[in-house]
Amino acid sequence: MSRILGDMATALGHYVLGMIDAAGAMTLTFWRTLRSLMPPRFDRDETWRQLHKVGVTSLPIVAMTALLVGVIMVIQSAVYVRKTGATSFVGAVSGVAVLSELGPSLIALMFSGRVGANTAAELGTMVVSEQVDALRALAIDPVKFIVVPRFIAIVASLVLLTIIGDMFGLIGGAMTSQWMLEIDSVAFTKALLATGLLDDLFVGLIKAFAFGVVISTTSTTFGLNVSGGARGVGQAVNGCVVATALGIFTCDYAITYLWYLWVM
Amino acid sequence: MAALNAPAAALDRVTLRYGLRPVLKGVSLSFRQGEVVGLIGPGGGGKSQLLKVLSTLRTPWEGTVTLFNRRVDAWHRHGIVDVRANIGLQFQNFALFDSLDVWDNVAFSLVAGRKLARETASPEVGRALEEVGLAPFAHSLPSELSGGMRRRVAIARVVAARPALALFDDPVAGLDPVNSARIMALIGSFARSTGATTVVATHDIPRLLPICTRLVALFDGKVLYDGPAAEVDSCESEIVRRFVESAREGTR
Repeated sequence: MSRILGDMATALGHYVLGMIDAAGAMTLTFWRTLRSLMPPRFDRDETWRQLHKVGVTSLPIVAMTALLVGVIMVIQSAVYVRKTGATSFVGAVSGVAVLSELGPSLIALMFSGRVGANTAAELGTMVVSEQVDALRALAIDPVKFIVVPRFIAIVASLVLLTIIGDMFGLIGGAMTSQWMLEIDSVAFTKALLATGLLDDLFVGLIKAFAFGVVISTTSTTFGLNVSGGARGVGQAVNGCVVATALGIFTCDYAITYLWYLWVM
Repeated sequence: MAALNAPAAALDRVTLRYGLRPVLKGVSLSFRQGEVVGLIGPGGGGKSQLLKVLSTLRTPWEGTVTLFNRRVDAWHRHGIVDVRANIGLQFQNFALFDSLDVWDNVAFSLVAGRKLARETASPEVGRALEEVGLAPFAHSLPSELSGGMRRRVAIARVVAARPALALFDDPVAGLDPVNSARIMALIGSFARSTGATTVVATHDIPRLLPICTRLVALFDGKVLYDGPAAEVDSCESEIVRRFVESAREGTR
């Protein structure tokens, strides 16, 4: 019994130390990224390449995700709307949910699965094939050349994609309202605008910005700290996906609660 | 006067560990400016790690490392970027950038490192690619090349940069005899024409001896021979004599 407890304590200790280690590494990565941004010292060509790679190519999947979120929101609320006749609230509910919560968080989760995992794998492969060492040997700071362009690209892309995704989400909601609840788009839009639309959009974009910081910092940290060859790359990708999701939900909670305190 | 005669690189009682396993054990060496040094020894003896310490990519647990009159070991990392700008390392596993073609890989240190315009770097890059015989493959990606060709691209990357300290880790492994002779001759002429301090780690001892004036034998992380290349056959260490003799027989 005591041996089992000892093993459990050891495993818990390893886990906690691992989390502290990861948190420390992410803090250092974030700090070095900020230092390279003020004043800006990073590779501009690489930044444009990353903007295209993570932003432009993610547009179709983000638009699809957001469209489905908008549709699902209305379908989910349709039963209650029909029962209560509260058709005038559909636009408002869709607007609040899509703009301030579901849009940013689900788009960020889809984005992290696509871009975050890819970034961790790419950087991890660069580490095990000594390409990062080659950068250092050529007197090039890997943070300025690899991390900062990806940080800018991921944060900027996620904010812009969230704006575009919100539009698709609202369009999806409006179309579904018309189809399922016979609420025309004018009524939907009036209800939407009657809420604090700009407030919801604003908090949603703050979340998108924060989620972008989480995704880029986590994915680049896990990628650059790979060890142990191909197996290590796989573990890094796995760890990155989990850590990013946790980070997104934690940020979401913090911003939502702070916004609540601000508004109230 | 002391500064003029100062070695380009000096290691003093350097110990390096991977986890608990020591890979370099109290190594003390110095490399004069313009010297061409051959580094030999069995696989796993610490040659690659020694080159990585010289290139500042590995920090020793103990001992001091001095490059171009500047200490660069554990507690002396300030200004290390300036030191690295004068060092070129050809990695044993190539370390080519997957997303860049051959031309961009060779030009990388000049364009991304020294901020030269592509047009300015073009003559040096073109010359380096000609010298390694890969000019026709300038726009190929590393994934489209054989292992031997990738090794030659890695060598061209060092040659194009013309560093003050050039380090070659197994430059002819996996190359056919014609290209092996070509690459060793290239390294020799590069060292003579640029005056770079050059360290070449290789198992191809017959081709190494003509281009280097000094030989260092590293066995299990320790220096067993450090002296003129011409006198290695008569050195005190029997292990080193047998190793050199075996290497010669293996390449006949």
